[in-house]
Amino acid sequence: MTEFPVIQIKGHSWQLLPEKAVYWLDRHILILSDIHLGKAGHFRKSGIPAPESITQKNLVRIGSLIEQYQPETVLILGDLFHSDANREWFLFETWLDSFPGITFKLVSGNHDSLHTSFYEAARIEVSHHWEKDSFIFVHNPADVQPAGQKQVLVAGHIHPCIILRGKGRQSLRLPCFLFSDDRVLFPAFGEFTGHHAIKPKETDRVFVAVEGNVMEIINQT
Amino acid sequence: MNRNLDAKSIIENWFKAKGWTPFGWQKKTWDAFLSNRSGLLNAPTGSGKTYALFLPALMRWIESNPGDYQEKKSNGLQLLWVTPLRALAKDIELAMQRAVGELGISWEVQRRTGDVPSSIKQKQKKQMPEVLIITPESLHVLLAQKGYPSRFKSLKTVVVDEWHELTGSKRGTQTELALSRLHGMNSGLQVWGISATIGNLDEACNVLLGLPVPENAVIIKADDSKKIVVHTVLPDDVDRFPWSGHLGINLLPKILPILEKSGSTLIFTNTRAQSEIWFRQILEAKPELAGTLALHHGSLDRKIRDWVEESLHSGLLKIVVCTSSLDLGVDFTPVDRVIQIGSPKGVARFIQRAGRSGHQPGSVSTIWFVPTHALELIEAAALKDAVKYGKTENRIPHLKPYDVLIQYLVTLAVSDGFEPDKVYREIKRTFAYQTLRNDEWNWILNFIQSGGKSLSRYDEYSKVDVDEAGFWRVHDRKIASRHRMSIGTIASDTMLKIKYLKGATLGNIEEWFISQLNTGDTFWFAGRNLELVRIKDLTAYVRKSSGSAGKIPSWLGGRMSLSSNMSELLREKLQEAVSGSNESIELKTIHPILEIQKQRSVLPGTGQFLIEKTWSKEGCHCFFFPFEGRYVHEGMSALVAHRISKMVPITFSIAMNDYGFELLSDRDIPIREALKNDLFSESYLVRDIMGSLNDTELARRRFREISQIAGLVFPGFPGNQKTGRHLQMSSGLFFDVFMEYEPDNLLIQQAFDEVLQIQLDEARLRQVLQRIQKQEIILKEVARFSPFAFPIFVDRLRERMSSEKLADRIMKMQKDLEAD
Repeated sequence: MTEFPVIQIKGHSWQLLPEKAVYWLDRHILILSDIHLGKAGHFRKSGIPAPESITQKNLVRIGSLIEQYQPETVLILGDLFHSDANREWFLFETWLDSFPGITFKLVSGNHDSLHTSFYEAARIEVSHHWEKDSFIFVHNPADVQPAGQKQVLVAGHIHPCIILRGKGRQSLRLPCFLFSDDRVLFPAFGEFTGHHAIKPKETDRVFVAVEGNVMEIINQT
Repeated sequence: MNRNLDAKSIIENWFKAKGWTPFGWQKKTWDAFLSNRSGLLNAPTGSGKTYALFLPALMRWIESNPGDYQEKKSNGLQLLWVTPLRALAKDIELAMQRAVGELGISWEVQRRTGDVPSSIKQKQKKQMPEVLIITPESLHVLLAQKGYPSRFKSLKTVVVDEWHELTGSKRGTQTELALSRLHGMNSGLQVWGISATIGNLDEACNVLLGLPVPENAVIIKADDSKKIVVHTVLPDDVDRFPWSGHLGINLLPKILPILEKSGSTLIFTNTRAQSEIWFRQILEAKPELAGTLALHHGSLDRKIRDWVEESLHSGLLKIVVCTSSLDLGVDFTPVDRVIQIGSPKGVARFIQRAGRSGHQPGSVSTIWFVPTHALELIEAAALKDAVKYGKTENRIPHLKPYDVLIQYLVTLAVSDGFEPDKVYREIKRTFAYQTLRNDEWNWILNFIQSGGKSLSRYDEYSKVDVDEAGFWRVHDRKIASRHRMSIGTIASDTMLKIKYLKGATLGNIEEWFISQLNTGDTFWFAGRNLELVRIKDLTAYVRKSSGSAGKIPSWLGGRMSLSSNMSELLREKLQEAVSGSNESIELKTIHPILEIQKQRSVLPGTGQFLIEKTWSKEGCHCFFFPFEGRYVHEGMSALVAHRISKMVPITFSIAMNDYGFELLSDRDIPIREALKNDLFSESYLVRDIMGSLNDTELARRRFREISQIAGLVFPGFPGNQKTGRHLQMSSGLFFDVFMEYEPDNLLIQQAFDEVLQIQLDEARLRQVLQRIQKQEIILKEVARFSPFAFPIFVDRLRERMSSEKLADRIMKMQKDLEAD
């Protein structure tokens, strides 16, 4: 698995995974963002026929990441569950039971509006943000200020994507990771989500997940 | 009033007292109506068609109530008048009320359209007026009300006005479905349509009346032989006339003298943005026109448009720059002349617009055609023929649009519920759904009941349920109210209201345009320079700006394509230009440009098919010139790109206009090899097109409308879009998800079918390929862009197709950048 790029950040090694997640090698933490479970169920409950198999597929994707990397902790950067509790939440709860040794952490996003008892019952540790080593994890990057240059803000919420242009008037739109000096933005893990185009600065590093690999995009300004 | 007279004489006397004489075709229509026949009246706008079908309804009333026809009140709905445009409803209402009032009949004539106050709608629920004027959408809203059958109990006749506007669209299908329900409640229902001249009048009549078509159905034609004179505004110096563009502003100096003539002028443009630009440019050139010049397009606030229409009526306004927003209109005041900027794209549209001038019987309609680029001079010559031969286009009715049927079934489930067998029998009588198969019907029922495939016991899908009596109903009130809000078949983007800080509303604009602006930026809208102050709750607040001219909004929306009739005329003219057999002033004027085409490339005659290949720093360009209109080129370019991309891994960006299309790639396009491999072969056409569609945006774009109509995408409550936000997802995402999880979903299939049948016009595409087989293919390597190629080259709106690996494409883009 070592062929995927590893980023050195504040003395730590983060491996970028093509599933649009990060494995924090030093701390054995799997980080992902904006899963939006339950979105299909939420729509269906309102009479909009979104295919319901999406939630299952997202869970299968997370499950196979856990099996592959054997993390101690799974950290979710918000928007874990899209809506009020619907039956997909219970599907998710049952699924969680198959990973008894793993800690699930959630920094809550604007969609995570379930009553705390739901998270407690599911053994998910919820907080507004979470500080660890030199990082401060939060859902919406606008919600906290990092403490000077010592800290790096790690966030989701934006669903960033980058537009690439080439000769022959070609262009591509790809979900991406964005690494700036003082912050890191995660692409949305969930498949049933939209994207927001970003314009990186020259010093930013941008990575995209492409056909089972992660590529760095150089010099796209 | 003399009670001894028979009904017909009472009406005819009133008619004559007004100084009018009924035309022969009006009398014919009255007779057919009174003998309870159904049919279609073929009559143009402003010809007296309203009275042709309204007065016989009064005659029948008088006949059956000879003693007390004036006194009897609250008689229930007698006549339902369906019109495609809200704006027309008001005029019709006034005309009918005048007749009823002067005849002393106690009938109520009312409208029921989206802009009627809800207090009146509530009253109509309790007591229907005798005559109700309604749009197809509002008719469906009525069918979504509890207890609707009682409101149609006494209905005798339905008249569908401007049927030509509806018949080729999903609104037409919607009308068919509503009629099928009204027929189901009253098998003796009389149905009439009014249509301008279209190529397939007989078919249009069948679509309206349903199957089997009643034996005594009749088509009545009003004789309309108005003379139309077409002038072309010619550039002085064609060498300096642009080869591309669609604005036509450089001919403004030649148009100003036309505007100075006495009387009124309508200036038709093809887009709203273009009308804004023309308005501004005319005003800058002739500031003294301020006050007598106005702007009219579909995004302007209804009040502004009403004012413009009334002021043109009263003579306050002299010149109105407009879009198709003024194509229709009942008693629209005739103007003295009409100016058409740029190609009207179709014969019928051009004739209709010309007909806006000189309405008096025997008078001449005058239209000035303003080409916006050099090649449109050929179109100008073609337009003169178009008017001479009057060969109007067909309006092809939609077949089996599942989305409209899904919406209709939910509509019935929202009101009184429906029994599937009964409704199935009704819709099988419509033209649109005559070929609907049992398995399709069952899929649709399953789709509205369980949301397609239901995979798990966790599913909570709820929309339509079946009650004990076997009626299919919607129980959830939220779902019901969301459905009522989204009845209709016109897909729309999220619109922002444009409002002054002080309060007056100017109109609507697509959200994506405003999202490109920052506060403080200026833009041009409703003929005014405005500064964006803030955006709140889907309203953009603005103030007047005196600063420099800002951006002009462009509205999304498909660009029109040259109709098949127009493209045929165009190819004929081109051949005449090649052979020099035509001495028309337009072709003479364009001659120098055609000479350049000859020097740089080839001027193809009808026996030749031209392909130009050339290089620029963007890469390799191949231009193809079928002269078949944008839509056919869209399909043909996808087909050609797909076939080449199967030979080598290659990425194309594709552009097209009405004359041809371009494939552009960063690497050499192996066109010679492709031609050897039978690039234009007719075999495997459908397979190859379907293959190419998977790689392009066409089907996905079609799905946008389908997903709105079928209720997947909810546009939000008016004025309160936010409450719907958590249920909003783009149709593109739905498309992707269905493609992955449920590719056999009928709505996905519909998207592909629509692309194939409607947009790309498979039948026409096949004809083009057959034609090319007989033509000599000329592959010309050219050093510079030819006049034919240039307008396509500069078009930035592009399709894409690729057979390269994504990772390879990214690597290449990065390398290109480093090389720069």
